Amino acid sequence: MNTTNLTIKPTMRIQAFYLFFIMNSIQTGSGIMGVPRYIFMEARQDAWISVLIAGLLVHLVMAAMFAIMNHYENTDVLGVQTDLFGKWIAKLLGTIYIIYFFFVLLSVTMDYIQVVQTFIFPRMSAWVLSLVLILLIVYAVMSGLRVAVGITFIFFFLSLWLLIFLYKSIAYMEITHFQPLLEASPSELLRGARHTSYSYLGIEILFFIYPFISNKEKAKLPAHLGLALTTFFILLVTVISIGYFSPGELPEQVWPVLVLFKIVEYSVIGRFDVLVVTEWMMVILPNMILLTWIITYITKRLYHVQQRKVLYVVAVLLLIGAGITKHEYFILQIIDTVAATGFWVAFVYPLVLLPLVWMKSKWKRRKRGGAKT
Amino acid sequence: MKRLIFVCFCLLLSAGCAPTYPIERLGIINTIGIDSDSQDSQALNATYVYFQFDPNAKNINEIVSSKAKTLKGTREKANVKSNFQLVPGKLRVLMMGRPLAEKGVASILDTLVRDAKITDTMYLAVADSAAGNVLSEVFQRSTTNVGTHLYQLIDTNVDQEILIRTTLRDFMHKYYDIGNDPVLPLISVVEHMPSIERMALFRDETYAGDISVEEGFFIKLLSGRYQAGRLELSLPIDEFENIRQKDTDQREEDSLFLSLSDLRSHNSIKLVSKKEVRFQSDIKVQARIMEISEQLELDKEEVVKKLEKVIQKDMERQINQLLDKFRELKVDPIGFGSIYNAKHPITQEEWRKLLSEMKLDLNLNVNIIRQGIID
Repeated sequence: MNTTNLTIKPTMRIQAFYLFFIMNSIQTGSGIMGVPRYIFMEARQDAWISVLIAGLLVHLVMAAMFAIMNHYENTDVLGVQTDLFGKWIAKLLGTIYIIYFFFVLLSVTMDYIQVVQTFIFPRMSAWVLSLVLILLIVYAVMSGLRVAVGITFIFFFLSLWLLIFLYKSIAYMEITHFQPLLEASPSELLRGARHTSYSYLGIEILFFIYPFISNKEKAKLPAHLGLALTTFFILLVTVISIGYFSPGELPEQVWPVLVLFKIVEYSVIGRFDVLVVTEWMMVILPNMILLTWIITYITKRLYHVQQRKVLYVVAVLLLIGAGITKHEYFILQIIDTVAATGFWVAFVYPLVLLPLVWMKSKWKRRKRGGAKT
Repeated sequence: MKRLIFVCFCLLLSAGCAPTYPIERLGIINTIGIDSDSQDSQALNATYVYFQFDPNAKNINEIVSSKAKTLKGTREKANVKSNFQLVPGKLRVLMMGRPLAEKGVASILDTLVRDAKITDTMYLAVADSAAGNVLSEVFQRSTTNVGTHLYQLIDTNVDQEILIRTTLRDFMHKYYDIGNDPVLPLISVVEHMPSIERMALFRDETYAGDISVEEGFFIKLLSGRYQAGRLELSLPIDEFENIRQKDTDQREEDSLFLSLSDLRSHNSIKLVSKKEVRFQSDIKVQARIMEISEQLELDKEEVVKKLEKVIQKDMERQINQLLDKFRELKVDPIGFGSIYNAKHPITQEEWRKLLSEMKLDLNLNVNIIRQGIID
């Protein structure tokens, strides 16, 4: 039996252009709220160069992912792993993916709840907030991938307008904050680039969603464009944050991007930042829905459990995980751990996998050639 | 469908878990006055002015004072004295007493910046005496609504470009920037009404001295741009001896007074020599004359040119006087240090030492474009 290739029913397939929204939505979420601070702490006023470097490298990773997937007819990374390492190691690696994705999901949920508690409802319990989010996630994931992707598509447009309201902080930017140029050493720039990893996480979804794409030959462009848009968003908020905050002020901000909106004020809406935090749910929700879908999908592929049952288990675990954590330092620690692990899982692993795939196919060809003679 | 109804129902129910804030029970803090206590130097005295939404109340403003070691602590204590829940979401003005400002305000501002509920667009000000006294005197002795009055006093003057914008964000920004110091309006009480008479200069977080609002004009002239500023000048009359129209004007004064309005300015400051700490500033000013105490033939080009030249000289004199003051107080509200820092990174302490050697070459260009509907 060939376990590598999958056949997906035509009714479950999605169009390639959705990759643009999927890539951008899964990456833009909780990371971008705080990323300028972390890059700035390493690369100072040259942080924007770090973002460009990171963007370029992530494009390379994505190209490697496409190269791996194109080697096979129609499979996901789980199939590739089975083909390369055999059934048991593949299962182990798949389980690592499940655990990893769960912690990414958990960190996103906790981070957003923390934001809501800090900005709007300090007394509201984390249980209630996570319950509200989880209900929406369960509702969306229950209906399958196509609904999840549809939500991503709609929420992308529903939250895009937030960008307009950065105009005021742009007006407050100061050019002297960017000078002197190129003061950071290459190693500082690279370390800054590494700190963007939490904001670029999610690129791994390509490994799992690939078999669902109906027109694969057109998949590359939208995926890379989606990634380029993420880079643009990160670059935009980083540049504005450097210009807007003083060099001494930026490292002290936990969520500099949200603070950028605090300067916006209208007579109808006195506190615009409250609106932004509320609206941010539309940024974060597609992110969480897609992550949950991946978890249920991998579990189904590996252990042949019904996706719905997995979903309930994930929901309960997420509720407990997000409900019991209260301390900010603990949340920051989880985010740091996820970011560090994610760096290896999302960006290094595909680059390791690619030569292995090449080697394997070369070896196969030689074997077949040897058999002939 | 059943699933949808179930999810909606759960969402609706969980909405009840959010704490409610009925507006009738809130005291919405509008202005805070903070002082250091005269007996216990570590304690803070805070005076809160808040709005109450009670239809029967005669005065929509209420005032309450309390004493504690921290700013949040004073709010808790003030809450006990008030029958409303005090909330800071719409805080508009924070006024600090001068004795407190002399000791340093960073610890107080830190809690404001830390609290996401507090807006970055609120104004900061320094009171001439104790902030609590200013607030309670205005509250008791005048009929005006002290909370909104103070806010509007600052806001309209900032809008008209008479004051420099001094929001919390501006203060923190300048405080954290290397080679830049904040300036705040200094509020005193004149005939039971608050009035901005002077500007308070800060050295980092501490009050260092004050200048008049007129002198404050030059800070913005050198560090920002004017869209519609105004300036009153008194020029020595001797300069105009031969162009005065003596036949229509027999007044004997030793100065010529004039007022420039709708003043637009543009400026750029460059560091020209690192060794000498020498800066060069090119300022272009465009304005119209709306008031002049002497009869001059303003339709003649050479008269206007002469006038421009004298105005230029007088402005240069005032700027240099102001810079001397800054050098003496070791403050840098214009931000020469940040221009220096952008070229040659430096620490705040190093810049303070360099500040007294700082030199500025002024390149001022005044251009009078209109003089009203008569010559």
